[in-house]
Order: sequence, then structure tokens, then C-alpha cells
Amino acid sequence: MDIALKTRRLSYKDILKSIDLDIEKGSLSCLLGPNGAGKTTLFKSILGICNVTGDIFIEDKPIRSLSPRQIAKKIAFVPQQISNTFNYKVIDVVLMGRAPYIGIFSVPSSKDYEIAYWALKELSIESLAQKDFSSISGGERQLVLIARAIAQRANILIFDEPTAHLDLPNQFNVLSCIKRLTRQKKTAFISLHDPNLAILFADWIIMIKDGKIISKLSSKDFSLKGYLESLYQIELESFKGKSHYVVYPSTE
Amino acid sequence: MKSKDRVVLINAFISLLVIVVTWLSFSFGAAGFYPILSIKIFVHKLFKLKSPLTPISDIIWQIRAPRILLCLLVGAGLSGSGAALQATFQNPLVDPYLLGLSAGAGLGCAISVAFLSGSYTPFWAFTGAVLACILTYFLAKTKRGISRLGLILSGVVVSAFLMALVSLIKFIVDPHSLTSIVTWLMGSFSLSSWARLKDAFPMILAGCLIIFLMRFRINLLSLSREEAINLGVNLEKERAFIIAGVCLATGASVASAGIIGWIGLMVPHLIRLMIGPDNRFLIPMSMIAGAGIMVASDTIARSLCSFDLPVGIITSLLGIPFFIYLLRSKTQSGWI
Repeated sequence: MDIALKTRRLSYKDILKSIDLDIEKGSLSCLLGPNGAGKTTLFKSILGICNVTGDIFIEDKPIRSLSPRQIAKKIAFVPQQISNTFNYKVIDVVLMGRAPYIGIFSVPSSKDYEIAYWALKELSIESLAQKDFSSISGGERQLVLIARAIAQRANILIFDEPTAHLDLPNQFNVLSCIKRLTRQKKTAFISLHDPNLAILFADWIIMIKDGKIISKLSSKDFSLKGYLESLYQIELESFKGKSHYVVYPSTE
Repeated sequence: MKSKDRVVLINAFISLLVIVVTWLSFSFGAAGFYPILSIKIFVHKLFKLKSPLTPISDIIWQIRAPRILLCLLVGAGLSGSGAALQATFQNPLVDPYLLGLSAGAGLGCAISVAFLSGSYTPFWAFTGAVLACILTYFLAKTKRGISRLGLILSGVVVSAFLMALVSLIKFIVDPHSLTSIVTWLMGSFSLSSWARLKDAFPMILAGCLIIFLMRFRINLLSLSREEAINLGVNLEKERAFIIAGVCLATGASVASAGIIGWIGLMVPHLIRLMIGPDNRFLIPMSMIAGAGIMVASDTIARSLCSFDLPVGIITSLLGIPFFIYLLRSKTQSGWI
């Protein structure tokens, strides 16, 4: 299978320790790990925000050979939330996704507007376009940030805990949307806290602990439970549902 | 009404208001109120008509016209700079005055007047503003980044330090230079002339042009560092461009009219209340509105009593209550 994103001996201070990782094209890979394991730092390293040692390759090109603008055309990042100093309209937030294609002395063209509206339409949230970003719900905000990533037209999408602070229907809505994007040949790399959501939606589950990758397994792998117990240092029970395993902490 | 139509309508209204204020200001002064004559003079000069003007017309043209044009330029420069700084530093409570840029430019002017017989004053003002901005930025910067309050406090400290240096210069210079420096730093358009306008025009125009052209990038810089980098923004380079634009506009403004505070804070907020925070519209409209408010403030300053009040007093009287309002109303929404 083609590799969209590859890291080799990626290290950052004491937080990331020699990480070797392959993310397959068109897959949904989910990063699981306890708090402080290095999930966000790994994402920041891939985005070029942390000064790391080691190598990162995007579609076999070393990231060091790419400018910030070229990287932005290949990788889009969806944060948990955006800086709320200024309360932009939803359409203006999505338009910002066009930044890598707009010169520093230019403003978005009518074509950029078309793409931004198309991205909103793809997620069926075009009715939010003229609303203030701070006035919409948490689930809608996450969808708007995904629309911005779609407008960015990058093939690799990185999501930092996209379901944080969302209720159950919104968690499903957002993850279903990410899953749909991978069917359109996008590669998604996300971090989650809920292993059951990871089992349900991801193709691959990558476990990170103390800055090291401890396993990469298919979400259908039967040995997941043992790895999860070792990852979270907690005893788990499991049962097989209609199509997937469900794990939960043992209460005994 | 669509939001874009609303922005266009508000823009048209503000532009019209600025034209009316400028016309009234041009008509009004110590020599009397001449609303029709002012239009005649304007048409005469615009179309370079050959017919002779009355002596009073020449006085109006030589004294009022450069003063009003300088007011328009300085108001646009300071307001555009304020909007750009607020977004670039993600801090709605800053402006060139609060970040110490005006004090830096003031020190540059004082050095030029005291030791270089007033030559290249706008250049020294620009250099002073750049150094002040760098000083404020690095003083506020910690391992955890730059806090909003930290940036304001750094600006206050840098301002105080630079103004102390200005005081030192005032103490050691000759009485003639001392008078020039004192009048200058008070913030006044009373010494405006066509020559001074000619000195300030290219720098303020260049500064405003940089800020105006980068108005979409300024939106991106108002996001968190992570987001901006992921959207392809070259943070250091683009920030440096914008700060250069701001320092050009602020430096030349201080060099031509002294330190005029609060306008750069107040105007972007007024416009933001009307049209929202999108800098693509906020920056040009702040420039237009700032130009009008500066002309209005200067007209008040020269009309209140028999002598010219420094315009900085009027802008401070308007701006400080506004700052207190912002501080009290926005603290809970996380601005500090």
C-alpha cells in the first residue's frame, strides 16, 4: 500500500523518542495513548511546529525540502478549537483554508469563495456560512474546521482529538464525516481518547506511550484488548458486538 | 441584507461623513467660516485654474490645506496600524501608542532635533519605532509565549523607559531645541506645512499600503501559531512585513505631528463593532474613519479656545474612557 506520511527516528526533547511510523494513503489511522504520552507533540512535529530531530516524509518527499506553503497544500490540521480573540464569520474561517493558494499581497478571489462554499456544502453546513463562529455549537465548530481543511485541498488531514467536548451524536457525526473523507482518497490521522470510537471508525490503531510507539494494529485485530490494557495500565473487559469489539474497564 | 452589502453601505456612509467633516474643517478656522469659498478653492487648485484667488483664499490654502491633509494621513496611518497590531499580536488592547512605538518614534525625533539639526527626522522616527517594537516584543516573550497583559505591560515599561531618555535629551539640549522637542511631542498639527506633508506622505502611504495589501494575511496572523503555520504562513517574515508597515506609518506620523495616542486603539474597535473583525474590510475602513476622526479632533483642538490645543489632548479625552469601557466589558470574555 502507498505511504502518505512516514517518520524515521523522530525525536523531540524527552517527549518523542525515535518514532518510526508509516501512515497509509486513504486510511484512517487513530493515535491512542494516555494523557502526556506525546500525541499532540507528534502532530506538532509533523506540522513543522516543533524543532525535531529525525526525518519526516510526505508522499516520499522530505518535509525539510518543502516551504510552509507547500506543506500546507499537502497537510491540513484540524485543531480542537481555534483562537477566539476575534469572532470571525463561518465563511471567513473556511476561506482561511485557501491561504496556501493566495499570495501574501492578495485577498481571496471569487473562485476561493466558491471552493469555501463547496466545502461547507460537502458537510451539509452551508446554512452556517454567515453565522458568527462563536455562536454555533461545539459539533458545528468542529465541522467548520473540517470544512476549512477540505478547502485547503490537502490530501493528509490531521485531527487533534476531534471529538473532545462533543456529545455522543456529534462524536458520531464528526467521525463519520472523517471516515467519508478517507473514502475520497484522503488520509486521516487522528487522536482520540475513546478506544471504542477508534475500533469503530479507524482502519489502524497506533498506540503511543512515554513518547514511544508501542504498537500499530488493525482495528479488527483480536489482540487489541491486551495492548490497550498495557497502554492504559488498566484491566479491561470486552465483548463482541454485531460488527466490532467493545472494550470497557473491569469493575471487579 | 447580505453582510457584504451591509459592509459596503456602512463604508459608503463613513466615507461620506469623512468628506463632510473634511469640508467643514477646511471651511472653518481663525480666519472665519467659508463653506462655499473652500469648495471654490478646492476646485481652483484641483483643475489648476488660472483666475486669481482672493488673499484670504491663499491663506486658507497655505495654512489649512496641508494641516487637514496631514490630519487625514496621520489618522489613517495610526488607525490602520492599530488594527494591524491588534490582529498580528492577537491582542485587541494594543495600538502603536500602548506598545511603545510612538515613544520610540518620539525618541528618534528628539535625537534628530537635538543632535542632527532636525535632518532625516522621519527616518530616525521610523528607526526608533522599530527598535521600540523589538524591545517590547522580546520583553513580553517568555517560554510560554506572549500573554496579552504581558505585552501591554511591556509596552508601558518600554514607553516609560524611552520617554525617560527623551526627558534626558530635553534636559541637556539648548533652549531652542528644547522648545521644538516639547511642542513636537505634545502632538499637534499647528506646525503643519506643505513641506512637512511632503516629508511624511511617502512613508505613511508606503506603511498604509503594506498594511492594506496584507489585510488577508493579517486575518491569518490573528489565529494561533499552530494554525497560522499550518495554513502556510511564514510567521517571522510576514510579521516583519506588517511591523515594518506599522513602523513606517507610525514613525512618519510622529515625525510630522508628534505623539498622538489612543486613536489607533479606539478607531478599529468602533469599526469592529459595526462590521466585525474581518481585516479585509476592517483595515481600509479603520483608515478612512481614523482620517475623519483625526480631522474632527484637530478641528475641535484649534476651535475650542484662542490658541491651538495639542490634538493629543482631544484624542486622549476620547480614547481613555473607551479603553476603560473595553477593559471592563471585555475582561470576562477572555481579552485579558
